[in-house]
Amino acid sequence: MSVENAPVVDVDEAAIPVEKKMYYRFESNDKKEFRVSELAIQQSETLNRLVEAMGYTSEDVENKPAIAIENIDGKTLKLVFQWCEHHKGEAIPVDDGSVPKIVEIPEFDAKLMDIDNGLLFKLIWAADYLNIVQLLNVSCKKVANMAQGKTPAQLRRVYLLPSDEEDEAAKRAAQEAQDPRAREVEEEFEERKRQGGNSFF
Amino acid sequence: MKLLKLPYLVQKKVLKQMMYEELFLMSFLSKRSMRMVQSVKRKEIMKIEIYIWGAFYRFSAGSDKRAIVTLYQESYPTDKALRKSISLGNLACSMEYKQQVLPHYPSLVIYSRFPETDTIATIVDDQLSALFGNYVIFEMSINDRYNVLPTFLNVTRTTMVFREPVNAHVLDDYFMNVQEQKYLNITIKELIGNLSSNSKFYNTQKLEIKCTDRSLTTDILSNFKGKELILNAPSDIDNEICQFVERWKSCQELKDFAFMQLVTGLPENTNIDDIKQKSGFKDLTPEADAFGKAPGTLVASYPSYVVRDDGIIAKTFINKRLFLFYVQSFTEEQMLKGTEVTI
Repeated sequence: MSVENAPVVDVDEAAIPVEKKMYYRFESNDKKEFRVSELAIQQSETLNRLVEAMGYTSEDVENKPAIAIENIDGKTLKLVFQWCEHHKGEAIPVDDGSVPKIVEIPEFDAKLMDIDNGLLFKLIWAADYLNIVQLLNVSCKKVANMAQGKTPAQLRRVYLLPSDEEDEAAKRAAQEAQDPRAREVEEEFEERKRQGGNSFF
Repeated sequence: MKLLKLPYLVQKKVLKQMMYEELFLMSFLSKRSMRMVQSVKRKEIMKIEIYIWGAFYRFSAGSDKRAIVTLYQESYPTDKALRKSISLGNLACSMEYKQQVLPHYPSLVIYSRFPETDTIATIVDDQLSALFGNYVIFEMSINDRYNVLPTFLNVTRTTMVFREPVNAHVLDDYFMNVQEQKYLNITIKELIGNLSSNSKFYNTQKLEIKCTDRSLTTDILSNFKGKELILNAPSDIDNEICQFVERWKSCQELKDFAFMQLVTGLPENTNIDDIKQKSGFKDLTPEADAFGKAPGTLVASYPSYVVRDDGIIAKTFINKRLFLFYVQSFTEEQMLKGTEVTI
C-alpha cells in the first residue's frame, strides 16, 4: 500500500509548534500503513527508541519503506496511534509502586476503548509491547472495571477463568500431546483395576 | 477477556486496580485464580479489622478502613430481589454490592442463614488470610456476643466489649482456641464464674481491662503472665497489689513483665503506707530516678522502687487512685553506683 493511500491518523497541527512537522511511517502485520507524528511517537518508549536508533530524516521517511511492526494488526495499531496522537505531549506517568493504582479513564479513552473484548485484548498486548504506559494503565483499568458488582460465576465468565477441573484436563491434554503412550498406559491401568487385578506389572 | 492469557505483568496491573472484594471473590474460582490474586502483593493493606456485633460481621482493610466484606443474616431487611445467589466453601448464600451508611460507597455484602453466618465468617477470614495474610495484621473487635465467640486463628489483637454478664467458660473456650494474644482490650461488666487459672487469657502480652468484677481483678493480678497490664479495678485491692509485687519479686513468674498501670474505683479505701510497707518499697532520690530514665514515662517522677530477687528494680508510683509499676533494665546496685557522687 502506498503512503498516499495509507489510513493516516489525524494530527492536531495546532498542537505542534515547529514549522516543519516530523512524522514517521509504520506498517502493521496486515500491511496497513500509518503516518504518526514524532510527538505522538514519544508516548511509546519502544517506538521512540526505535526511531531514535534509526536516525531517519524527513527524506528517509518518504524514501525508505515504512517501519514494520510485525506482531500488531492494522485495526489495533490504528487505535494505538489514535490514542498516541490524542495524548501527544502529555507527561508519561512514572510507576511509583503505589497500590491501589488510582487511574481515571478520560472520555476520549473511554470512547476509543468502546470495543469488543477481543480487540481490547489486542490493544492491551500492543500497549504492553510498545510500552505505552498510560494506554496500558487505562486499558488495564477498563479490564479491572469489568469486575464491578459481579458474582464469582459472572467473574468466571467475564475473565474466562477455568475451574480446577478444566485446568487439570488441560494439563493432562498437554502431557498427552507430549507423550501419547501415557494415555494408553493409564487406560490399561484403569482396565486392569476394573478386572480386579492387584498389580499392573 | 482472557485474563490469564495476558502477560504476567499486565495481569498484575489489572489486579492492582481491582477492589479487595473483587479479588476476594475471584480467588474462590480455582486454585489458579487464588495463586494469581496472591501474586499481587497488596502490601498497602497493612491491617484487616474484623468487627463483630452479635451475628453481624464486617471485614475492613487499609488506613481508611474500607469494608471488604460485610456479613448479615439472611433475614436482614433489604430488597431480596437485589441479592444474587453464590456459594462460598460449598455453603449457599447470597450477595449484593450495597451502599453503606458509613463509609459512603457500595461494598460487598453476603447474606447467610443464621447458624451458617459464623462458618461463612471463618471462610472469609481464611480466604483473606490466604490472600493477604503475609502482609497484614488481623485485629478483631467483638461486641455483645455472649454465647460462643468466633475464633479466627490469625487474630492476635482483640477488643472485646461485654455490657451484660458473660460466662467465664465462654472466654476460657475462646482463649483456648486462638493463638496467644499480643494485645487485648476488654471491657466487662460481670463475669459469671471464674476463668481457669491456666487460661491463655492471662498470657496476653498487653492486657487493658475495664471491669466492675472484683473477682476477675483479683484473678488477673494473681495469674497474669504477660508483659503489660492496664487495669481499671472496681474496688480496693491492696492485698492483691502486694501479692502481685511479691510474685514479680520472686523471679518465678512475670519474668518478662514490663509495666502496670492500675486505677482503683474506691480510692478512699487504698492504704498507701500499708502497701509500701508490705511490698518493701524503697525511696528513690531524684538523681536515682533520673538514672536510665527512658522517654515517655507517664509521671514526671517515680518516688520509690522495689527490688526483685535478682537485683532488677521496678520504679513505682502510688497514690490513692493510681499505682504505676515500671520495670527497669538495670539492678539496684547499678543504679546506686551510677548515681554515686565521686570526689
